[in-house]
Amino acid sequence: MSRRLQSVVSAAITLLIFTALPLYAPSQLPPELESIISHAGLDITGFVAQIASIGVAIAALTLVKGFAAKHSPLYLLASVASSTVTLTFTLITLSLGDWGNLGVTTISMDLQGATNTVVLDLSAFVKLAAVTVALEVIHSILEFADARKQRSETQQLPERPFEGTTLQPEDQMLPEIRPLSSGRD
Amino acid sequence: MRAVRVFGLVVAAVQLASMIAFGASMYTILLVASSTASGDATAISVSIDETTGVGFLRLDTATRNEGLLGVNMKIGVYALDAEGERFADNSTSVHLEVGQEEPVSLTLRLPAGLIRRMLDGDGDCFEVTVELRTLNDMVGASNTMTYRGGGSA
Repeated sequence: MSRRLQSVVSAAITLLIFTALPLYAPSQLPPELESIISHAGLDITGFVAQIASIGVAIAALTLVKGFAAKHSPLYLLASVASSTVTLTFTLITLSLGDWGNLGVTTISMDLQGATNTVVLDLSAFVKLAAVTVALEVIHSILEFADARKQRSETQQLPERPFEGTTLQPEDQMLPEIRPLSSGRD
Repeated sequence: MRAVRVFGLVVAAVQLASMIAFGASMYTILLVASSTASGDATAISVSIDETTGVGFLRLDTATRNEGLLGVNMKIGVYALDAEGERFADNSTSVHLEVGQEEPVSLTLRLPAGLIRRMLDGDGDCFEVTVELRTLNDMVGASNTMTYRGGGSA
């Protein structure tokens, strides 16, 4: 499969998973669960909108990466942007829509005569995601440098090494080939 | 070229490892929390000894780890004043290995009048906190239930 076709397929899958599915899923939630979510103070519509827009951004960047040459600055820019968008996605997902919490989410619900407060601390994964994205960016830069080096090496080799040279009559004279004598003649 | 490829594989391995760690810790936290918070596993009872004028707030829970990683748990019962400040507490910490069960029982001794005020929802209240930490204490969740009294909770 060519790189371009691969990127188109990958972008389509990304759009399906990160944009179409999150936009469709809330309509399938049972009303009771929807009421619990809104009671807990979670902005499900805003959360879904954030995920969907990130899906569009990732799909677009996947297409750019598929169509741009690996040695072009556009490819490097798209790779770095893609890693950054992935980090944003992780941050938003682990913080349930409020990325400013950096992975620590507090959900509070008032029940009859009681208050239930749940705190989820996933900040370790936010830090891990930041490290991973930093490694990804370094990898993109190394890949880009490598692609450029390979390209310059390819450009130094002439495409037709014998172009411009003419054969001299003596070059055309091939040595006479004789069968090996057995020594009996 | 080869070094770049190896580096790419290392990055992919780190990503995969973090995904596995996330899945395993979330699975563990969900299972331990649900087994501890279920109605059969946890009971809160209040009793008053009229002769001594002492009230007892008792929490009995059966902690169980059916997850994939070891868990550190801290369970506490607290008495809070009208401003939400804790003025009496009893808490304990347990470490649960995978498959381990540990019953926990905590009692808070308070004046009977105070317990009555708590049950009536008259300013003072009590709180039950369950804190879970896994993956070498890097990932955690806590559930705090504050009972204000006067309701059916």
